[in-house]
Amino acid sequence: MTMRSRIALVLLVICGTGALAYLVRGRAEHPVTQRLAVPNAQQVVPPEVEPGARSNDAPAPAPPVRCAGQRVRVVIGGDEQDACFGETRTVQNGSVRLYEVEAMQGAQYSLRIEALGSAVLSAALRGGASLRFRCEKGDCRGIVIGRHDVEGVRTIALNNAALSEVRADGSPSPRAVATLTGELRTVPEDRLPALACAGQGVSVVTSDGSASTFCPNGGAGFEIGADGHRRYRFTNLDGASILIGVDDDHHARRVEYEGEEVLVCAAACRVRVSRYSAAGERTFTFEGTTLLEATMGQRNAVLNGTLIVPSL
Amino acid sequence: MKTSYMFPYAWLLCAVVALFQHTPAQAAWCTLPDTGNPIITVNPKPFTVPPPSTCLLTYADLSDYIEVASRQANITVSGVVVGTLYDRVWCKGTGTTCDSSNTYIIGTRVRMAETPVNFPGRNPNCPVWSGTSNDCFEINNFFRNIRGTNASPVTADVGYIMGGSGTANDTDPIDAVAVKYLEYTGKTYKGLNQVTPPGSSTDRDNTKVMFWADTNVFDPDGENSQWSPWLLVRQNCPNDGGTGVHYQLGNFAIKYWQGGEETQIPTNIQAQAYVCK
Repeated sequence: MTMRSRIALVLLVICGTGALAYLVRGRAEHPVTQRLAVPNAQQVVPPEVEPGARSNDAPAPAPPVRCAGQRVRVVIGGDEQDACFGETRTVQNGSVRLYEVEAMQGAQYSLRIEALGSAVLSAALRGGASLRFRCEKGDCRGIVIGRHDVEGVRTIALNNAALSEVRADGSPSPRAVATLTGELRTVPEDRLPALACAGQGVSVVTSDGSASTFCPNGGAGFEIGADGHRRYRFTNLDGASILIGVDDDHHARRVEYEGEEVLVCAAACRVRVSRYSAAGERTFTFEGTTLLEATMGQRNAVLNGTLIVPSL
Repeated sequence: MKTSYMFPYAWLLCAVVALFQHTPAQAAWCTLPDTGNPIITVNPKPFTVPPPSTCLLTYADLSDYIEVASRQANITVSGVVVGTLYDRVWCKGTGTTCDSSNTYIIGTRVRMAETPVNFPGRNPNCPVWSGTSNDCFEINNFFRNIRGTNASPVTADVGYIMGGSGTANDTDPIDAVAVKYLEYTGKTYKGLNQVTPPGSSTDRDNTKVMFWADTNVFDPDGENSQWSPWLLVRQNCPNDGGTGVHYQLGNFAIKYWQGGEETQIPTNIQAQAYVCK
């Protein structure tokens, strides 16, 4: 090894040692923020402060609160706060579904969103006894309720959703606007007794990966068309319908899904139609029934399961 | 002698009075007013029994009509099924053909559930729907969407049927008999504790019909009516754009109102129902 090579090796060792020491020190002074776990129910994680991160002499500001729930940024008049909400509570009243979240920690807000399917009817944010903000229908355009994913969860996206302040008597106030940014997740309906299927239901799996179970909790019945044939209609609590047109030979002539989109099977639909039972009921069995999107025909849905129309 | 001549006439008079007293009154649809005070009186509490003929019908009055749609649905309050809605559509016609008059009846009746599904110690007479109240859900007013606007009202006739040959405990929507009568009706979107009949012009809403009929399986006033009467509204429902469609299942087409007659929690429930196109 030449002298020149020896000098280069010594410099390399010195530089490497220095870089390693810098990295170790830097990691202690600037801890890498940990990615939070998936929100899980009502679990509250206590705030953590890394040892040695600050001088004991300095006045300690409130440490950042880790949110094990659903974090939503709330901006009111330039003041930003993070609300940490617990699991989304779902309550059905008639056709109206209420999604409600309460603060687990941090800023004490509660948020209520009323919807029919994916259509937002209203949203209301409350903070303490007097702070109230609200939007209705078209004014809630920053709130987007997504379709069910493969686990049956809907995501409620809050995209700078603007809610206007209202007075205690409910009248609008021009004073302030609350802007919400974040994401909420709903609980799958099959985990909620009031929304789960009871003894019947149809799985609906679409070609783009959406999956849900259609429960006829919104009603069942028939309509007689101008041609004199009966068309059976089942509705769910999202306001969607499955319609089955039946001919005189008890064959399903046409099947439609009317919801956030319209899907149709116009011929040779794989649905078994029973005769009326002694109790006056009629059963429709879907056996891989394929429906195509009515307009573009680019998406399809496969239906499996059973629906029963009661004695009417 | 004079008394003996008078007796047969007096007896005959009494017999005629008694006959009229117990004969069902002539059926009559009520045409709702489109201007002025919106609410008309039908048979308010304390009930007149037998009821006056105002708006009172029987199934025989539907003999010129064909049933073209029928459905039933849960009535859900705070995630609890408190009753069942029976909703039907009839058209004027014969056989299986609706005639060209485009006359349609949209009728509804509800049965409140009696089976408790809640916690021990709660009201055992019904599925309790509130965590803060032990009351069974009571519908005081039914509202449904009708054709017409405040500027251009469309004539609406109202009738009610108390039931058929069954009893108050029957489970069949045709046979079962309601206990409480239709008290008031009119074109308004206000009910118990929101308006005092006959209301005023400011209470008018020509896009709605209101039926005032208390329905509660276990009523704190001591008189239960598990079934409502059939509550019927008749209108002209034209062929929508030549499509052959005269009615549809509409979102928020029906509303149930618990107005707090016996200090219950005032509650609105809106749901799908048939509506004239």
